[in-house]
Amino acid sequence: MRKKKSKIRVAVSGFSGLDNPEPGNAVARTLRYDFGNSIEIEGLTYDVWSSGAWPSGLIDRLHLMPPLSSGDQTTLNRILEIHAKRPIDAIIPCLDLEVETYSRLSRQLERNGIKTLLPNQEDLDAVKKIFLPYFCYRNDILTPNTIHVPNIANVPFYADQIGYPLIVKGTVADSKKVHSRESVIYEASRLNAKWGGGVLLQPFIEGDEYVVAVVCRQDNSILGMTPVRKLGINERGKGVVGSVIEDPQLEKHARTIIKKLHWRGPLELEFISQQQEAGRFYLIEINCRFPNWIVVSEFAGCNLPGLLLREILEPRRRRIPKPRAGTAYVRDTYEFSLPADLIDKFGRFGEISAPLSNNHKRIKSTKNGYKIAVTGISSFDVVMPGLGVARALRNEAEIEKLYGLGYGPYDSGAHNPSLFDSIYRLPDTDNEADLTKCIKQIKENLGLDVILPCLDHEIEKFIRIEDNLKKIDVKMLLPSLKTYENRSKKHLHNMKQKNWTAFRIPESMMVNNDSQLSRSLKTLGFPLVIKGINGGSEKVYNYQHAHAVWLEMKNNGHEEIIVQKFIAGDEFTVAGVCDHNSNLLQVVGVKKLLQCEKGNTWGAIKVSLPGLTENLAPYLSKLQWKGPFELEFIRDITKETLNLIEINPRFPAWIGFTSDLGVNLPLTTVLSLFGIDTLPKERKEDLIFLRTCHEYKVEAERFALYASRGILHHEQS
Amino acid sequence: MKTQKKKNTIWKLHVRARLDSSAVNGTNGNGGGILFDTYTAALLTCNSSAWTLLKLLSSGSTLQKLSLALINEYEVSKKDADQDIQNLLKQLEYMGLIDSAKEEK
Repeated sequence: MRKKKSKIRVAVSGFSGLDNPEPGNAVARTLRYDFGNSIEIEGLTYDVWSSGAWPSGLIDRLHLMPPLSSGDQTTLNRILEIHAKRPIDAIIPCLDLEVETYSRLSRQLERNGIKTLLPNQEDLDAVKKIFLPYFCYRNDILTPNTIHVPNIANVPFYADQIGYPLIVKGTVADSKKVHSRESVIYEASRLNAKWGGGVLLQPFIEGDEYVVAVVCRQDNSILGMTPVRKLGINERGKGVVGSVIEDPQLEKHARTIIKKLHWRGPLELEFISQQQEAGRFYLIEINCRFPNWIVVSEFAGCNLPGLLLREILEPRRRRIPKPRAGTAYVRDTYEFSLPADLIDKFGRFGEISAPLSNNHKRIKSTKNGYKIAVTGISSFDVVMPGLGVARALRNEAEIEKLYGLGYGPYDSGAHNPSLFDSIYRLPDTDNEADLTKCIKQIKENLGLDVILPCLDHEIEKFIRIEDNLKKIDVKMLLPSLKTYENRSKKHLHNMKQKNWTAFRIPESMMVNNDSQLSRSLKTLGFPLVIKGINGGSEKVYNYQHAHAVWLEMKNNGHEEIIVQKFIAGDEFTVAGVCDHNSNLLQVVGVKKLLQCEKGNTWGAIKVSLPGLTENLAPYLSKLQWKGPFELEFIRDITKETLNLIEINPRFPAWIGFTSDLGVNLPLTTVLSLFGIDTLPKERKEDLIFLRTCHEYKVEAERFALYASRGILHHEQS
Repeated sequence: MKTQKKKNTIWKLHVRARLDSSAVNGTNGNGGGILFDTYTAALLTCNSSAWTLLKLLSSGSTLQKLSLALINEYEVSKKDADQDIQNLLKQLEYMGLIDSAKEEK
């Protein structure tokens, strides 16, 4: 007898992208909010490392898909293969390029019982980045002047006509604001290599950015709409903080555009509005899928992916709730670990049931435990280590309270209620007295035992106030100022090979003017890595690119840079902690498996590097190191030598992983301050660390509250 | 100046302005609140005296009533109260959050 199928089964794609996430994770989460366990979600991915597909409880099964370039028939065959095992009711493609493919396949899918709601090819063509200016011109829609430059050799000519800064865009996705001729040439080459078809150039319009997510019915009418203003835009130009708004003019404008589009299914409209021209919205882009912030539609009470799925399965007139203005989202991260076997199996068999648990067990904190404050609690631009430290400490019985110390209302971790009990804003100055006063206040108000500073730029400040904090019985584990200086990039550059047999220091040169840059490029050759003394690095491939990066860094206040030979090979990082006597307490090494554009580790596996770790204890003792550290290495692909790239005076951002491994380094640090040895725990070796983006719900008023009062409290359940 | 018109003009907050005091009072009970512009997501943190005025403005008020409310609730002179009211109205006007609809009969 055939078993009755009771659950809706939907296939969703788009789970990659790391710090610029594809929308699949957000769409799946939003569907899960709406349908709970009455839905089964089949995740479609193009590689095993799509970290957005792996969080527990999100996807039921993952399926590897052939690349789109293998053709429509191959995609169709794979979908039908999945469908034959477990019938799929609907597909929601979440990537721009996929929408075209599934639109072309929609009739064949429908014949097999798989439903979609997608625009036809003609309407998709109209909104492609290359044709959008023509669509706007034809329909009298305000848009910035846009030049499509098919041959990138002509980019400097057109860029000079527009003037700087300007926006250079790929023909399918991706864009960058550039400030100079050198930068536009480099970015245009990069975007053309990635997406093909040349690039688009647009004058930069200074203004507020607005985005509208929409779902249209089969008859092209609007099913639901969620308008959002981007409140926080990061260095990559991505809106990582946004609030739902209710502007009748914007909504009217969006409706007018949609009427001209003859659209079916989801889409995103992007606008910019200059402050001096209130109510005039320039249409910047139309994306033919849900945006990656779509979960805010659920937060605001108008779940658009849920509405879409209902419309696909049972089209009819529905009463659609209006999204509540003032509901905001903040994009933070979600970290977890998986058995390495699972990823291996997925790669080998092309299908796997998603894990049920990601080893997140909430332990009730003790009444008389330690009260710990952690800095570096944002993932706005880069993922800061304080988030990982908090994750490691959050579930430990010895910790009673965990406070986040931030700098601004858009610190993402400040709005993650599962990490911190309370958030305090630190004074954003170099004035040590102000910092001491602020910490004293926290101590008096809530009690405080330990501070773990997690940002490079503030460690020096904390070292300077260490004695003041000792007087009020607030402990820290930090090196002396001299030791701190001795590990700097500049010092590392000057360090001679001496007796360090376990690793090498790559050849590098200090540069502070154009002629030194030219000399370094001639001496070291390409590829190279250009590094700022206080952070930031970029791999460069030619003179033009190197010059563009140097100019950009100079604009950002870097007076001196390090030009270093690029070493090709696997990257490793070693995190550890030394006690007050510079004895190495514990150390964990990982191999980086996934890195975002900024170089942050988004995927890693624990490795043992015996030759290296044995040599570390005497090295750190000689350096007189105290407290947490991270050493970054590259293993030369040809010479098999380990090259020390950087010494960081704090834990790395992936440090939360050490608690999953049973070697909780942040906890070891805290306990060592009280003379307590960490008890050995059951070690789990065969785990893989993964990180994905995760949006949290915030009422916009809380941004103002944090900005004005400098305090936020979370109620812990 | 637009905001220094007739005394009996009724000033009213635009519907796009939303007042919320719950988040603030939940923290330390010092009064005050937050004004949220539903069109632009702009936020304005207000102290208790501004809050007194905004609450009156949400249902519509004349300059005279606003001034009286400040004088009665806080120890301020009429001159200071009027100055504070002018400043707040100017800011609200700049943000497009205030209407001067009609005159009181």
